Amino acid sequence: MILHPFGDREAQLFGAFDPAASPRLRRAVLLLHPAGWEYVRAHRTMRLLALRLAAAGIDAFRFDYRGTGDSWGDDDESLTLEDWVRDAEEAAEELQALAGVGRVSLVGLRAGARVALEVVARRTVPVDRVVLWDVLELEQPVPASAGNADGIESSERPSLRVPPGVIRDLGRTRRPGIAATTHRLLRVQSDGAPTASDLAGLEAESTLAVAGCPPCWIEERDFGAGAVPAPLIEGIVSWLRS
Amino acid sequence: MASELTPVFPSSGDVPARRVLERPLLFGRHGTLVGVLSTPAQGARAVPVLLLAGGIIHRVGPSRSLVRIARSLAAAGHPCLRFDLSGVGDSARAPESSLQAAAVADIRDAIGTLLAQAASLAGGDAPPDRVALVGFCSGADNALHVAADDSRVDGLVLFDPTVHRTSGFRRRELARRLHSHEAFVNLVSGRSLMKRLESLRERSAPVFPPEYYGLLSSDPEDTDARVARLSARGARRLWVLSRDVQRYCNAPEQVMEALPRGWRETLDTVVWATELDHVLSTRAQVDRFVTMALAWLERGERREAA
Repeated sequence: MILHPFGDREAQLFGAFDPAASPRLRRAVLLLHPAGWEYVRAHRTMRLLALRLAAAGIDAFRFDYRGTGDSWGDDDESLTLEDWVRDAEEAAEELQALAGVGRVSLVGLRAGARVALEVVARRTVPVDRVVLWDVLELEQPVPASAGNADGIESSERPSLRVPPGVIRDLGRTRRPGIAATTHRLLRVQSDGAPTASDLAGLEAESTLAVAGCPPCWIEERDFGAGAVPAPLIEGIVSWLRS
Repeated sequence: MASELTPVFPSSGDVPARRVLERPLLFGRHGTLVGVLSTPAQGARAVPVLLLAGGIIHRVGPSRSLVRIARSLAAAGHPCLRFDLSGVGDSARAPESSLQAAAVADIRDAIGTLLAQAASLAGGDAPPDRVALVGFCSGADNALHVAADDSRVDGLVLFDPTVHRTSGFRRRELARRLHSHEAFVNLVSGRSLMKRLESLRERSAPVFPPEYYGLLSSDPEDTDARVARLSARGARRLWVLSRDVQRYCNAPEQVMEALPRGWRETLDTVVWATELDHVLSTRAQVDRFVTMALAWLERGERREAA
């Protein structure tokens, strides 16, 4: 893994690049994290996915949106979904340069899938394949808090602390038109994960669902990490290799 | 691999912009530990601080609290490193045979790396040779475990560490129950007896593997012995206990009760911080913790100077 901060020197984003093992397939995948507490729980899964992709000959790049993880910025009121989409576009350009490829693939988990849909729709970055994994449902977007008025759910289950501007913008996105694009699309559905009804008509080349593979962004016990769904990871890697 | 230093602009009202530089680091005996170093943009003159996250949450901490704490401490002059233990977050699993041995070696590696990085920032000043550890939950237990035998550590901020139950704890708990209307009703109705029998049944069912959570947590005697070793060399401790510790620690004096050999009035400070929860879930709580930690660190530096 190569730690790779990038972007504006005055507002850098944290990136981690896992270069492809030989033989390289000359493909590159940008991983788009979920938001808030789901980001923390899914971190291990996203890291292992990056490692598996690299081992399979595919360059993989993860990064933290501004105001999240190790990146610059605070998770304050001024952040918007537009900011995160621009971060993703910048990360995709960084990956193109790192991997020496013209097009990149996107793997978006939960809110990251929404970011992926926006990147595809804007067409500012050449994208070939898209993996939408447990797309965040818009009917009940990531709550700022399910608890009391000051934003604390409870001591044991803290606020997701997703910037309110991002939550607001997520509720406004509607991208059913992606089906009309030329991208190859894989939809991944964890066992028991809610489905995004606004994307019900979205035609995917393939759907991956494995019974008994729980969502990696929730947890059984309150220690901050979800289960790693190995069969889904292998399925995603296999589809991106094909 | 370390990138060049880059400026960070925390937008928090009390952390003025352009005062902190950050860079990610790959370090350690196997070159596999991932951390982020935050340093003051000008003059790293205060004691370097190593942050130890709790549980298996990676180096950003719950609700990104460790990021904010590191940047705030760096803005106040403390070079600050937060990192992932082997097998957690972005750090690869270490080849050591036990997780405990790897965790001890990881923390010692991190102390060495932090001191080396701080030395490179010292300019013409004498390079620092001491660090403070700030640990959260099981990270606090890890800090105490390692610091006892590492003379480079001369201060510990322990947020919600293990505080072993004492006779004082049981006495206070009994008194609380005797004054509780609910407890009285339970006793008269026989529900207390049923609950006790249920808990005995549950106790026989093992739930977690031995290495589940508190990697370097010690038993009462060992904890006391470790604190005694810290006392012998004059290392200070700040114990910060949130409102969520009360199921195992029901009064600030329990820290003293649990450390019959190690406790020193001159070295130990306990803050009974009922305004804080265990995961510092609001920004205000993080800032309150930073204020406490900074005041305590500065007192130590004044003492050192005197």
